[in-house]
Amino acid sequence: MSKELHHTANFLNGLTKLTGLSLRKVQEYAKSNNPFNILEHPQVIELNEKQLEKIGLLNEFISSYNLLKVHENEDKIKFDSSSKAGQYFKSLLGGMKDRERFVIAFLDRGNNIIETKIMSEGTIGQTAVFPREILKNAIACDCKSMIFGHNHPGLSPNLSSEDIKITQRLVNIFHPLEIRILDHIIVAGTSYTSMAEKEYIPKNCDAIASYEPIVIDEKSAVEEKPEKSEYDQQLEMDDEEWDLEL
Amino acid sequence: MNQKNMEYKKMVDVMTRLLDLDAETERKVSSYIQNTGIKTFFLNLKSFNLPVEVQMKLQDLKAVIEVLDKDIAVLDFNTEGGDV
Repeated sequence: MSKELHHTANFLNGLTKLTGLSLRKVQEYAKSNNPFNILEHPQVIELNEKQLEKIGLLNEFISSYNLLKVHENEDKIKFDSSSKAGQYFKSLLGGMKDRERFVIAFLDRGNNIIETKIMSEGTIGQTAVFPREILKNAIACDCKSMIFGHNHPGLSPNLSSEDIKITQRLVNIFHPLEIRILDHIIVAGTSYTSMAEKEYIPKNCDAIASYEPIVIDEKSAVEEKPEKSEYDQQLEMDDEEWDLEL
Repeated sequence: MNQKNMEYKKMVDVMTRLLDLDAETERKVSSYIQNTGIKTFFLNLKSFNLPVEVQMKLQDLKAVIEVLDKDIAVLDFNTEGGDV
């Protein structure tokens, strides 16, 4: 099936499920007409008051969606604190209960998101991360820094030794390239742990860069570092802490 | 409240009426969209902590908007990995 036909079929299915219109009637209409007419001129097919109301709401949603895309392009999400990064990754990964997913937000000089990518997806307790893929994406988008995020489907909020090792391994690759790793957020259901807040983000290389795949495992939690008083409260990190190059 | 946040609020209100969402789901959807942005939200519906039936309704909504939004449409054919 071509992409266009695939999308049209999906569109018709979505439209009928959302509005309660008959799929048969809509398909019949779409055989010889542009199916988008149904949104613009709902009376072209037989429909009741409730269905008409739903089409009105769908049109309102589409307008709002288009407007928001423009707003988001002009006003990108900016990570100016570890709590903001935590909320972002918690939203993005909080529902992943059946597998681990490793995601990276690539940031520009002002810590605005250039793009966010899923770098790997594994099983319930393990996933493998491929440094070459991360490097390829980082160079392609010309990022100045990155924030990692991955979930613990077992809902343990504790950092594992692999979480720390992978961060160090990636610092070993990116530090020489002057691409900073600002944070690594571990999401466990509705909570998260920020490695930056816990002061586990390495500042320097400790070995030669290795590009072998890295396995991260939810097990093997590390002991908590004694936290500094300023991290006791969920305070926003100021620009200086993440060394914004504005 | 800036214009973007007002638009988020308006959109979630429309989604609530269109998809018949309950108050708790409305609160979650609002928080997810404001935290991650609208594009990331629709590209990663399964990642969010939402009931399965709500995810299905959101997939239906995505099916309608993806014909209008190439960013989402292209990625629909590459759901394993890729952009968020």
